[in-house]
Amino acid sequence: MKKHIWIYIVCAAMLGACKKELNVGNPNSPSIATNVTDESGIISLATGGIYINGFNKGDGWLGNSYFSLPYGYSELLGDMVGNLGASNQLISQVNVPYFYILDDGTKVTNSSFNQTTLRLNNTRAQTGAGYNPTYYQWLNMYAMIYSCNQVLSLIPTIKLSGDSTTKANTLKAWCYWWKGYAYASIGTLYYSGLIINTVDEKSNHYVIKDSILEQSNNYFNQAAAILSSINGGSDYTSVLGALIPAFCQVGNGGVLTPQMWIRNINTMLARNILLNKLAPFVNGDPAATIQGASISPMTAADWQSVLTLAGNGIQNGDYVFTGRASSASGFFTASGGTVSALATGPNGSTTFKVSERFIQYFKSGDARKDNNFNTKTKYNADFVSTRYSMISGGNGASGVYVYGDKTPGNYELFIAGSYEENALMLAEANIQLGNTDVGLGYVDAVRAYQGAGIAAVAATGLNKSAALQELVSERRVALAFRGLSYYDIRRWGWTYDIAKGGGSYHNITSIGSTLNTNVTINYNFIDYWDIPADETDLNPPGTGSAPVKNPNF
Amino acid sequence: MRNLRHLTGWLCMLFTVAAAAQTKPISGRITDITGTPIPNASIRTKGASAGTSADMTGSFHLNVGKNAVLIVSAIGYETKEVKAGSLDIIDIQMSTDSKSLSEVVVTGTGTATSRKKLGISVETVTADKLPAAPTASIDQALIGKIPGAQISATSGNPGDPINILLRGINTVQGGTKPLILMDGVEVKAADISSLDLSSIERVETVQGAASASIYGAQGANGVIQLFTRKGRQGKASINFSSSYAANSYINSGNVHKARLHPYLTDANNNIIDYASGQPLTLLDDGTLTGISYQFADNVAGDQHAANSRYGILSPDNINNKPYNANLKYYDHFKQVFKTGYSFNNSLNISGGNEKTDYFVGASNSHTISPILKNGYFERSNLTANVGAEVLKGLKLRSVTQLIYTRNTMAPGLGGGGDYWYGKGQRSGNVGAVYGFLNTSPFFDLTHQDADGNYIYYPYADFLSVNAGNPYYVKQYSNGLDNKIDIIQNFDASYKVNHFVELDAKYGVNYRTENSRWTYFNQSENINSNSTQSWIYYNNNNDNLGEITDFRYSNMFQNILGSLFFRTDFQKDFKSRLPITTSTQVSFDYRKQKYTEYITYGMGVPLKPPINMTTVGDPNLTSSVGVNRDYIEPFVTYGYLVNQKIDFGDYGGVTGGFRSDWSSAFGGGHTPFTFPHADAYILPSSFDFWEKLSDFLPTFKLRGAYGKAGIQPGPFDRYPTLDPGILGSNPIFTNPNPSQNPNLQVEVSREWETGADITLNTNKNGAWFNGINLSATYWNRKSSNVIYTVATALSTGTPGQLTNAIDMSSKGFQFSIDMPVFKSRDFSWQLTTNFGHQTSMVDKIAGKADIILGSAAGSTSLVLRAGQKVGQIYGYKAFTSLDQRKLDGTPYIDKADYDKYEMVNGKVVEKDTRAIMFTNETYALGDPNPKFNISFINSFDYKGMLTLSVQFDWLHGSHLYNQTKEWMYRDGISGDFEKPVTIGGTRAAYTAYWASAYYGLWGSSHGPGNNATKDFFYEDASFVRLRNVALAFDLTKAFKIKYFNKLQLVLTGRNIATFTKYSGYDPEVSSGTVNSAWDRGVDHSTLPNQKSYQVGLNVGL
Repeated sequence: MKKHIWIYIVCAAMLGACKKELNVGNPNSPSIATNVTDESGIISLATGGIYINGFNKGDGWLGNSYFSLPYGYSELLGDMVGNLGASNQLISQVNVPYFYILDDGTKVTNSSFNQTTLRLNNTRAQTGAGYNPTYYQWLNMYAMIYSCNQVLSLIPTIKLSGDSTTKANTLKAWCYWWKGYAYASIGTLYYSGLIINTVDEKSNHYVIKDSILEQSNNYFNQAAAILSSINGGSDYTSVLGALIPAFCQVGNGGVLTPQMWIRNINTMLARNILLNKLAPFVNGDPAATIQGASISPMTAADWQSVLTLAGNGIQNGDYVFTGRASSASGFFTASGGTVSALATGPNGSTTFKVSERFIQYFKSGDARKDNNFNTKTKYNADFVSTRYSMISGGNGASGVYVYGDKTPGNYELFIAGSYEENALMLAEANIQLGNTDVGLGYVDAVRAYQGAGIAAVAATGLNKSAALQELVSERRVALAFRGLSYYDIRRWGWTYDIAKGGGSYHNITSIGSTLNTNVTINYNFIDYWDIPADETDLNPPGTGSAPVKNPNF
Repeated sequence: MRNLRHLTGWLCMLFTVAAAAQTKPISGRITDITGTPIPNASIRTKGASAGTSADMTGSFHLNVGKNAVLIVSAIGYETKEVKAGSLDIIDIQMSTDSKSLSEVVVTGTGTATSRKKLGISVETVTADKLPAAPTASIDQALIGKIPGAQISATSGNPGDPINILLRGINTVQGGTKPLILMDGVEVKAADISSLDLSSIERVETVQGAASASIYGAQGANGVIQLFTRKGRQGKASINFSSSYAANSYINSGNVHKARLHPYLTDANNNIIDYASGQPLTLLDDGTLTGISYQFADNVAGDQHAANSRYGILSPDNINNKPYNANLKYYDHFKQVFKTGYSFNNSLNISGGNEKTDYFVGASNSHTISPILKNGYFERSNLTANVGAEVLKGLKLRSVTQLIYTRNTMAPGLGGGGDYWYGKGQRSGNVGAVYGFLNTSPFFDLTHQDADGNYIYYPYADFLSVNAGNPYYVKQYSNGLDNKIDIIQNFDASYKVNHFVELDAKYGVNYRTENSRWTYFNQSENINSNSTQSWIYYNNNNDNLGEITDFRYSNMFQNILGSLFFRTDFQKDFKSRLPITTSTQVSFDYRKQKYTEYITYGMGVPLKPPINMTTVGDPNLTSSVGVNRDYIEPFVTYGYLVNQKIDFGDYGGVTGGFRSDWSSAFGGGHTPFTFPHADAYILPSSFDFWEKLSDFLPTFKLRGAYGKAGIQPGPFDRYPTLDPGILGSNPIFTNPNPSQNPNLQVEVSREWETGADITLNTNKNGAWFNGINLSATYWNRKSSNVIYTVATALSTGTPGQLTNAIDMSSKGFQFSIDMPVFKSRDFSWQLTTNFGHQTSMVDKIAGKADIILGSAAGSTSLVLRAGQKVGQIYGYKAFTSLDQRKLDGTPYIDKADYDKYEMVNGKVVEKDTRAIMFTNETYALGDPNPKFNISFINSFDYKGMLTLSVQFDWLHGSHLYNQTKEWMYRDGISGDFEKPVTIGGTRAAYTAYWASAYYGLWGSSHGPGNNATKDFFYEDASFVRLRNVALAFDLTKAFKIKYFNKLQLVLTGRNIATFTKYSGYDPEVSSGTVNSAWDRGVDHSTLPNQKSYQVGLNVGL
């Protein structure tokens, strides 16, 4: 056997040599251990964790971002867009009203409408098949919270150059801001939620939406506190300038000064109050009341808080958080990444069709309507039938707002607050607090800002109801496709059952060949959504948890 | 105990006889029936275990006793007994027989072993049993040939890979593809379908963990080993074959679009505008507007305008009007599915002398796609197999295959490309099929606009919204896929001495593939502009077109070193025991590197040249870019120790283990060990069998146990972040699912037990004179099966890869090979191959169901513990008025019974004319077949005229007809013209048929839209005339100088299908190729082709 000893030697040598080869790693992908070790690494994670985990991953079902899918639901439920052709993601069903009554008194009842379909489809299997609307916003926002917690845990391990305290604080403010944003998004849509504040933390203690919103406010305030300590030097701007993608630093997007950022926070804090309380304005009645809602009406103190916060909120010219499509390497595409993109084009072939109930709120002569919409083709689809199509890039009227543009980079998407939103919060708070003309002044300012070219309404002697009608019209028109439309018609009481004081009146539909202009709609939507089964099945509520299904519906 | 005494007695007698015999030399030559020598044939005298083997010329010398009987055996030939008598020189002709137990196999055993001495089940097919499939691919030819295996062509797109399922589904993410070996070396970069059928001599298959355990961490899905043809000694032989085939798509279910319609018409049957009342005319952009159903839906609680999508649910609308006025009916299947053609040519030369042999072959196969004849698929192969004995005992062999494949089909019409395409497990892109299936029949796909261009999106308001036109795709796109495969194997074997043999193998397998998809500038197309729709891969920004280049490379190397140590107790140790042993120690190393590089250029000019330097899109800041740059390294190695001990002809045992390391599992440090053991016993060898041996000459029982593995994904164990770019900055994101550093190999443990039997049923008779039967029962359990287990969303990631699942499967297979009739001039041989198998999910960690996304879109597939793998979940149509919910409560109040009636076995609501479906889902069933069986008949008249007929029968398989369900959306399906009787009236109600697409209990549309329902879950059992070939060899009929063979062959493939399935082909599946679970859905695939082929085979 001696002469074969070389065989054993060769074998042994081969085994030894091979073992080193086994750790091939993944040459295609970075890892925390090797890549998140320095300033650029943590910035890469802090950027990707927000823009991709928070706003892109998992949203390829409809369009390709948070701004096409979860924003899409808000605009669908807000009756700003509609669809009957495609069932994907339930987009033709989630917004179906319980009934509507045409001008001639014909009542059309839908046996399957928002409440039934939303609940029937909230199963993991339906998520898998692409039919569970409750899934996406929850998915994205908890992914965002996870990323923020992850970055926060890694900040102390990273050696930052220059004024490292300022840089670390800028990163922390970034994480707190987005945690505030994510909790706000959860608390505004879902009946309850989970608080997960450290990386890898798990919780089965569901808390009611108000506690989630409290978390949101808490993180917004922490961000503001940090920002008030930063003087805004180059260490701050270099970090924030890297965190915000360069292609978004255009128009209203840019590297916010700490003061601008604080003003953005104040707008969001005001929004948290406004969107999560009732301000019923049903059938033109500012004194309307709603029964059986999951939220209480705004009090004078609430309006005062909104007034104060918005008073310190975004100003004309402030940079805000925006998104734009990049022709390559963006976080959404120009042709499908936003509600706006999905609604832009001839109504026969777009995913979303602009709703008659959106267009009806343009006052006559509003330049924004002529600049953005045509009536070349009619889309016939029962309740969501529409005469209107949105023109990509508009008709070119100078200084007039453009609602949709499929050329990469042209459309400006608002991720958080905007000047218009803040101004209209000031308007609404003032009108509600009795300062009607001050409030209407803000409405006029927004119309001027967007180039509407219509006569001012301030100081024209409008009463509260008429003033609110102006405010309502302008919010629907000015804030279209910004993910707010549903929350507006919810808090105004329109989405609640007529039997409980809700309903939407004097609407236009273009069903068939007759135009109805006085349609009563009973949406009767669930106001705050149930928690997706993808959470509750795998993470059942622990003792003492808040309900995971909205008990009011 | 009694048996042992018999054995001992027998042994003693044998020893005595051998010692006492007087011997004399005998020599001779072993040839096949054509006179070609058979090297290495083994010759021994009956009763002796030792003997000799023939040399390269087939010659042998042996000392034999008086009146000795010689037993001659050789791989692939029927063992022959010849009385030597007083002859000194004897020439022996042997006939081929693949099924006999004398056959020698190597797969699963490591060393060449007679089938008689196998404890495992190995299935073999020799080349002469493989039909000349029109695409000349091996995988196609193997369909029906391997008992137990389910091999199916799930797409009719030329060049697409086929589904191979050997024993059970034992993995979820790993797929069912077996290990492919060629001459002992793994072929991982090239596809089995790329190898040249005419260069293959034999195929061996071992199907499960018990028999494939020596392949360790990659053996669990079984092994298919191909053996390349070798040259034989003698003068060079030249073979040439040529064939021509006409191919068309199967439509066994008579799929067509409804020839009658329910739309609003005038007195002249013109389809009219609902508002103006004027007949509709095609707009400039090829679309229509103003169409409407005849009646609106006025059922309370569910009202829809006639000119909207849900007008189809109106109980008043009836499909009863012919398209005989302004709008005509166009048969889109006729417009799109044409007759394609295949040409195959092959030439090979082989020969050899005492020390060397050679085989050189060249072949070419060219197939024009039947879908609009839009391109072709072509493959050229060059094969060389050269062997030489360079020194005494040292043999070298080199096997080379060079393959060039070219595919010019357009993307969407069969073209190859996209992510992972270079791995050979993806079908070509046939996305445009869905579009034309869902185009309303009143659109003419061949219609050209004023500029002579085709229409892309022919829609009519709410109808035809999923339309798409393949003619447009053909006009505006272009695909070109070039692939080169190189397979080079070297083998050196050295017989050191009587005991020790060393063998070294090295195989390198390299593939380079480049595919380019060009989407032309569509900005001058009226329809594209007006509907803002266009075809693209990356460029969804505008209709200016794009070029996308896909570059793939795959390098695979396999080194295998083996040491064999063999003993024969009688010869080597003068023992009386007839024990032979074989010990194998092997080291096996595999390394692979796969890469993908995808680049694009957006905005192509309207006029040529169209290339990457002329692209430019004014709407984009950057027109060119890299879409993907991916590299996948993989290393695994292990060693094998295998010990085989045989006791004469009576029985034997084998045992051993294999340990494997892999870059993909065990944290890189821990090897996994896979033990195996098998045993066989041949009761027919014992003398107590004497009385039975006339009738039952061979009776063998065998049993085996083994473990084998399936590797995790190459990076599943490396925790990473996902890379990305935002603008120009690199970004990192958290992956979904997240990886798991502790992943283990998926392990499959299997028992198999079986018998191999030869029966002399009618020994010297013409009819049914014998039966060869081989049967195996197997049972396996898989554990550590990897899949993404869903995690609560609040953890920040919806899933993590986990060794989460336990599965089990079992099955039974047999093959019966028997001469039905045999006379001097005529023979009829029947082979029957049968397989039954079933697979279950036993356990899922965390217990939550695993929700799977089917390639078919909305069809629901779920993995649930206690259920079969691949079950489809969906809603059921009520079959009685007393239909109950899962909680036992009835759906319908007794008081309401009169509102419903039974129609075609389903409950229909009279008012709405809608079928009632549950609103809770059920497992609709396991789509996998209960059994598959193939009958292969071969008739031979004087070797001159041969006829072979193969029927494949798949029983109990099901398909979810998603193709049809989509065609129900707008009432396009031909079903809509079928009348039904509801409320005493018989008519083709749109509401009845459409309810199958739209309805669920409690809602006529919405949640039910396109939901998975048992209505579309169909029995897809079929009997298929897979192959019929009639061959006439002129050289056998007439003496023709120089020719050995001059054969004319007429072949029909897939020419008849008997099935109840209403789709076009019950064999298709739209799931990923070799998917473990996505196997039962038919969603806009291309059906298989029906072919008529004429061929000529020439041998010189």
